[in-house]
Parts: sequence; C-alpha cells; structure tokens
Amino acid sequence: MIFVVLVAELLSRRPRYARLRTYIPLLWGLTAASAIGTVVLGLMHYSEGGFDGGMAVRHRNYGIAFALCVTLAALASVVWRDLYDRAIRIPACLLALILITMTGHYGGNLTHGSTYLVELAPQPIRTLAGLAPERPAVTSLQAADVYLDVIGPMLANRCVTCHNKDKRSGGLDLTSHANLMRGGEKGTVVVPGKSGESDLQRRVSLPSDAEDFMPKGKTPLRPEQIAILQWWIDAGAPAGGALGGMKLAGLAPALSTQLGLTRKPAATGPAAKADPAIVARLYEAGFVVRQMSLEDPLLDVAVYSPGHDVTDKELDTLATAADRIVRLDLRLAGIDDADLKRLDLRKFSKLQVLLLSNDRVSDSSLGVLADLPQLRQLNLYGNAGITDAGVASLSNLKQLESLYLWRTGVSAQSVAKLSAILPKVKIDAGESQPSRPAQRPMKEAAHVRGS
Amino acid sequence: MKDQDKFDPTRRELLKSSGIAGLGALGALNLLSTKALALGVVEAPMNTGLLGSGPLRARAKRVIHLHMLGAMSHVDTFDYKPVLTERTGQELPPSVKDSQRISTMSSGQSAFPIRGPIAKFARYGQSGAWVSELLPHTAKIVDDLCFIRTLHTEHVNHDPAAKFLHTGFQIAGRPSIGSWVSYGLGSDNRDLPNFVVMKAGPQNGVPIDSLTWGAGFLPSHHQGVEFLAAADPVHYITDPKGMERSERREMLDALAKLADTQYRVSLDDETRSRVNQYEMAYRMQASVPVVADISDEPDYVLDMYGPDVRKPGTFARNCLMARRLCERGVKYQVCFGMGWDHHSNITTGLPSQCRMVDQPAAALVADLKQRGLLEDTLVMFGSEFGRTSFIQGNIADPRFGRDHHGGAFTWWMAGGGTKAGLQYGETDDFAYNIAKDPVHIHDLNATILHILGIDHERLTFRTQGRDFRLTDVHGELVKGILA
Repeated sequence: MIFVVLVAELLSRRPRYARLRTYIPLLWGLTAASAIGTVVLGLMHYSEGGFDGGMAVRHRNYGIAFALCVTLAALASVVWRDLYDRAIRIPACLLALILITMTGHYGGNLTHGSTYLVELAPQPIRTLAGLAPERPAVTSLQAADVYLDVIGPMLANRCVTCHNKDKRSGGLDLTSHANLMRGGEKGTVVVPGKSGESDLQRRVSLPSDAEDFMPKGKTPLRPEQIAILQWWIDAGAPAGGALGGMKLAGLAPALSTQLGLTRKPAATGPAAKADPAIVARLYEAGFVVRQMSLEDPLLDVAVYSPGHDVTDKELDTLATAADRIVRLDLRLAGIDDADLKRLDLRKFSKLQVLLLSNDRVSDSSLGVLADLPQLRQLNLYGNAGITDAGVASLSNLKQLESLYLWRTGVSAQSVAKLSAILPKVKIDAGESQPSRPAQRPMKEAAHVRGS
Repeated sequence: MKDQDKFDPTRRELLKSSGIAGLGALGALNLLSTKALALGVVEAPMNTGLLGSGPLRARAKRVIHLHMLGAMSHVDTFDYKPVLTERTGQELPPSVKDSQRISTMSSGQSAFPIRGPIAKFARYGQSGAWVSELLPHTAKIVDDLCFIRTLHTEHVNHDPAAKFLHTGFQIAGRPSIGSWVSYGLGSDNRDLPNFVVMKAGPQNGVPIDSLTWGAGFLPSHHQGVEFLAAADPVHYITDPKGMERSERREMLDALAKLADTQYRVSLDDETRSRVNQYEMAYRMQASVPVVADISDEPDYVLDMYGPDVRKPGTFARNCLMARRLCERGVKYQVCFGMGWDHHSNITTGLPSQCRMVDQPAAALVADLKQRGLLEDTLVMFGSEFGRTSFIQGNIADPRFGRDHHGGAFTWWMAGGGTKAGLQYGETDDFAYNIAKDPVHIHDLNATILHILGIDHERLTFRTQGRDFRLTDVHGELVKGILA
C-alpha cells in the first residue's frame, strides 16, 4: 500500500496526473488500516512466545512506528490539508519508506535467519559477516557427512524458518547439532538411538492435519526423508561422520537423492505417468486402460465389456498406442484376421501378454506373432480357425511362457510336437474335451455400447 | 509456547475462524472444481476407479471367493493330524487348549475329548498334499492349489467372524473387500456390476445378511449385487408387463435430470451414485439374461461341474456363473456355500456338504485354467473359521459334532500369482494352535489387495474425521504364498 501512496504522490506532481491528488487521503487511509491490522496480528503472534533476542523486538518496534507514521500521515492528509501539502507530504513518505524497509529487513531475519542476506555472497563477504566457509559440494555418497551434508541441510530447508536463533518456536533452535540436542521448552526432541521416543521423529511422521504435526502448515517431509531421520536417530544421532563408515540399511538410494547425487526417482516425476491424451483417447474408443503400475507408465489395455465386437475405428485408435502396450486383452471382441492386419501387431513391440480367446482368428494371423520379441503369454483358446498348420509357425516363440489352445482346431499330436520344440512353454490344450471339435460360438447380447 | 485460553486466540486460529485465510478459500474452490468434474461438465474416466492403476503391478484382475459359510472343519478335510486319531477319546491336553477362546456352545462341557478325522486321508499330486477322501475332486487338482493352513481370527461366532473376514471389522457397517476393490480399481465391464454375490446350499443354517457385501461409507454403487436362482437372477430386473424398454429409458432420463437439479443444490455425491445404479440396472436388464443363459455351454463343460449344474441356484451352477461373470470382467465375486455349521451330526453332515462343493469347486479351477483365466484370476476357498479337534456333545453318542475354532484353519487359493502346489504354514499336532507362519485375516486381506495391485495401506477413504482402510492399522503381506 505504502508504495502505491509513494507512486501516487510522485505522479501527482506532474500536471497530467494531478487528479490523483484527490485519492491520496484514501490511499493513506487504506495503508494505515492494513498496517494497524498487521501490527495487531503480529503482536498476537509475538505474545505466543518463541521469540527472543533483539531481532523480534526490533521488528515489532519498527512495525509499530511505521503504523503510527502512516496513521498520522493519513490524519494529516484529511484534517490539515494545507499543512500536509506544504510540510508533511515529503517527510512522511521518506520516513514511511525507511521504516517499512527496516521492519521488512528484521522480519526477513526472523524467518530466514540473520545471515540470509550474505549467505550466498562470495566467501570474502561471508567471512566479513562472520560466517564459516560453505560446505564443499558433495560428490560421493561415501564421503558425505551424515549431519553437515544430510540431516543439517534437511532441517535447514524444512524447519529453521520457525526454529532459528531469533524465532525459536517452542523454544527450539534447529540451526546446529548442539542446539538440536538441547531441545525446546518441552525437553529434548531427539533421544539418540531411540527414534520411537524422539518427539522430532513423532511429529514429522504424523498426518499433516494432526495438531502436533511438523512442519506446521507446510508440506510434510517425504517418506524417504522421514526414513533417513529415523535411521540417523537410531544410529545415535551423531553430530558428524562420513556415510561410508555407517550402515546404510538400504537407504543408500534415498540418501543419494537427498544429497542431490541422483535425481528424484522417476515415480514422483511426470515421466512415470502415461500420456493422458492417449489414455483418454483409448477410453473414448471403449477400452479399459490402466498403467502397468505407478512406476511403469506402459499400458494394460482391455476391451471394456467383453462380448461386443470392436469396430475398425476403435482398432485404429488402439493402433496409435501400439508401442506403449504391454498387456492387450481382446477377448470375446469378435477379432478376426482382417482386424489383426489392421492393427499391425508388429508395431506392438513391447507386448508381453496377448489375449485373443473366443475371437475369430485363424492360422494366417499367427505368423506375425514371431515378430513380438517380448511375448510371454498368448491365449488363442476358442478360435476354431486355428489348426496344426498355423501352430507350427509359433515354434519360434522361444521366450513364451504360456500358450492356450483349448477349443481350437489344433490336434493333440501337434501340441505334443510343439511341446518338444518349446519345452519351457506351458501349453494348455484343455482338460475337458469334446468328442468332436464342435465350436459353438458364445452367445452375447446385441451391441449395446453407447446406448 | 505460552498457555492459551479461549479469550486469547493465536494468530493462526483467528485467521482460520474469520475466514480471512486465503488457503481456506482456495480449498473451497478446489472442492468446487471436483464437484464440477463429478457433475459431468468434464467426464472423468469412471471405469478406472480411484487408483487408475494400483501402485503395484497387479498379479490378478479378479477374485472369486468360495466361502464355506458356517465353517468347514479343517480337521476332517485338509489339515491331517494322525495324533488326533491315536488319541481319539482322550482329553485335549490343557496346554494345547488353554490359551484359546472357545464359543459358549461347548465351553460348558465337562470334557473335551479329541476325535480324529471322520474320513481317511491320503497324499495327492506331485506336491503330496494331504486331502481327505471326502474331497476326491479337489484331491485331483492339488498341484494347482496353494494351501494356507494357518489362517486365524479372533472371532468365535459366525456373524462377527464373517463380517470381519469380508469387511475387516466385526460389527456391520464397514465396506466389504469387494467394494474396496471396486472403489479402487473400477470396472472392466460397463454392463455388469463389479462385485457379485451368490448363495447356495441348505438355507436353515447360519444366516448371512447383505451388510456383509455392503459398501459401508463408500459410494453406494460399489456394494455387492446379489444374483439369485429365481427366474429373475437379480431382483426386479425385468420390466413389468406392458412396459416398453423405451419407456424405461425415458423415465430414467427424466429421473437423471431431477437428480442433477438436486445435486446442484445439495452437492451430495450419493445422488450421483444412485443415478449410477439406475443406469447399471438398466444395462443389466440386457446383460444379465445373457450371462444367466447357459445354453451355449457344451455338455462336456457342464459335466465337469457335476449333475447339480443343470439346476439353477445350486452351488455348482453358481460356480459356473462365477466363471461366466469372471470371463466378462466382474472383479470380485463371493459364492457362499451354506450349511457347514456342524455342531452335531458331523459324520453325516460333512460328507454331504463336501459332495455339494467338491466337484464344482475343482471344476471351476480346471475350467478357468484351460481358458487361461487362472493366470489373472484368484480363486479362494475357505470359511470364516475352522472347527475344534475336540468334539461337541458326547463321545459315546454318534451324533457328535465340532464347535467353532478361530485359532487355526485351512484355506486354499489358486491362480492369481500364488504358488501352485505350496503348503503354507503349520499347525501343532492337534490342528489347534499355529506352529509356524500364522496368517491373520488382516494379513489375508492385505495379501488379496496386493495381488490385485493395491497397497492396502494406501487405499483409504476419509469419513468421520479419519482415514479408514480395509485392514485398519494391521495387515502384513504374506509374501511366502506369492510366486
């Protein structure tokens, strides 16, 4: 607000913007109101405790002075308009500017620590300001220091805005190992060797809406960070020591991420998310689409509501996602050789599971399957058109694990022959056999999709 | 921090209560946009469920649970203990019996005489699993099964034990596991419900009510739908005489408009859930008669399930129906086989119950297997608890029975990425206490969800101020049974 006043004052000196003068009392009034409100809230926060040292007192005093200053200026601009124009305007603006700057500076010190201005400055300036040399960048997990490089920075990032030398919320200062171990008003927060009894551990592990949760009102620590903290406390909460000399208890990847040596695991990044446009398109075309898992963005696609024939248009949409599909379930969907040709299975290079049971596929479609290098499971049961001739072309599928041939036209001899060629493949030609290879098609409802 | 009292609010509290806080306002906006999505302004892919995909790679897509309601005796069927035969008539040693809670039906007995299994046992298959002669068809498929001998539960009465098994809590009202699965994973068939329940067997035994497959606090369209043996497989599925399907359609459209108006005022999700169910029922009017009509099943398939399969409403027919529904993508099914509560006359009652379920259950596994469906379907066979190795009644009276026993009982599983031919866990020589690898009901439920690709600790629903999950704060994954 005060800056709006200043700008208005400056501009209104020029004849062109002289009209702005009318609004200046109003602007001063708004500034005063917001300043007073802020002071009241600030005093309430101050009275909650947790602040000691001059920093907070100075922030408070300058803040009050600023509020007084703008309140008086506002009064003057309304009541003694002539006096204001002659003698008050310029000094009031300058004083308010100085006061808000000082208030802001001390406020900044409170939340960021009193060294925040020079922290990132070159080392000579840091030395002048009395700061220790910065830690060298960590290059290896083994050489990194457990406190100075891992725990300390973690606390510095997430906790010290409220728990520092000047603003010791709960009487707790987390800017150094010694201060951390000293604890707060309620006693120690870290019991070396016993994370279960450490208040710090308890509070960061709570659900974020719990009363005692820390960091209050902020994003919770990541699960790996909580695990690292727990591991450190259980290891005796040491003040330092190379990670190389400690048992990492499976936390090496998490520590590595924390140290910035590896990027965050892909699972949390957008890389692991299947392209939503493709998913939406397939869904629209009547397929159920799922990611293989949260870590694996490849797709598991099935006909939604088996029993309805898939249309050519739907197949074309399916083909657009060919290189992303790991599991393709086209059971009971009226798929025939022309459909498979239209799909061009060769493009499905990542396909591991292909379910074509109870479709209308025949021998001529099987040759192309040899070009699917990752195919593990192939289900052809219920396709009467598949015979010994077609099955012979499956003998190249060395990587196959299971093959289903029940209710096809394939003979027992042919199955035995294929078994001999592919001994590792579990071939199931069915337990209950008809006396004749009758193929009664499964009856299904009329196409009701979209009704 | 200083002591605070009512008249001295902190800054944070003042901001919160006065509604100045921008965060609160943002939260409300966020809520509104979610509602806008639900209103159909932007249609969310409802069929993929809350999770879209589970956090884990799914081993199975579907589950069929054959629940032997009333509690099948594990002592006489799967958990073979020769010591029981040797010691028949002797008192169950207090060191074995003492620690466990038993039901009030036998707790007043003056003696607890042991009775060995009422039928002969033999080993079958390459896995060498012991199975009683009461279950000859199951014996033939043991190499496809994964036996868990160490299921246990705290409950010794049917209703709390069944509720606990299906909903993770002994008192009615929590969502059933099938509802959780539907909520988490969504649907694979828009024309059929995700969660189906069927019942068969003697109706004079232990009752079971629909809260066992209720949706609890989850949106109500996730509840289990009961399929019946009657001419209408689902209640009121057929339109009344003289009503055209187009009229039904018009009625539902008008109803949906009214519901939408209501929803815009109340923002109550249940309004939409109800419309969802009306629409599902409408689609089921076309889809259910087709699934229920088994005339396309060849005789050699029907024969696998045994003669009962030709009668609607039998356990055998329900097993066949379960396979047909499973083929069409129904995610979770429970087939109750009723009538296992053998407090008396176990020597006649148990064999007839076994005849009812043995062939159909074994046929279901074999039929799924030859269709390739066992690769991604988990079949489970088991009760809410087991029965005691001591008898209920008088040892001299042939009408003796066995009482409820939650301390250890046997289930089998097949498919869904479980280890075929495995015997998991061991009980003591009396089939009474667990000697090795216990599996609690919460562990079982955690494992079923895991098999479906769901982390049981992460599938939660917030209601009444806390996040609820199927396994509450319990449940350890039983890694040992996973292939």
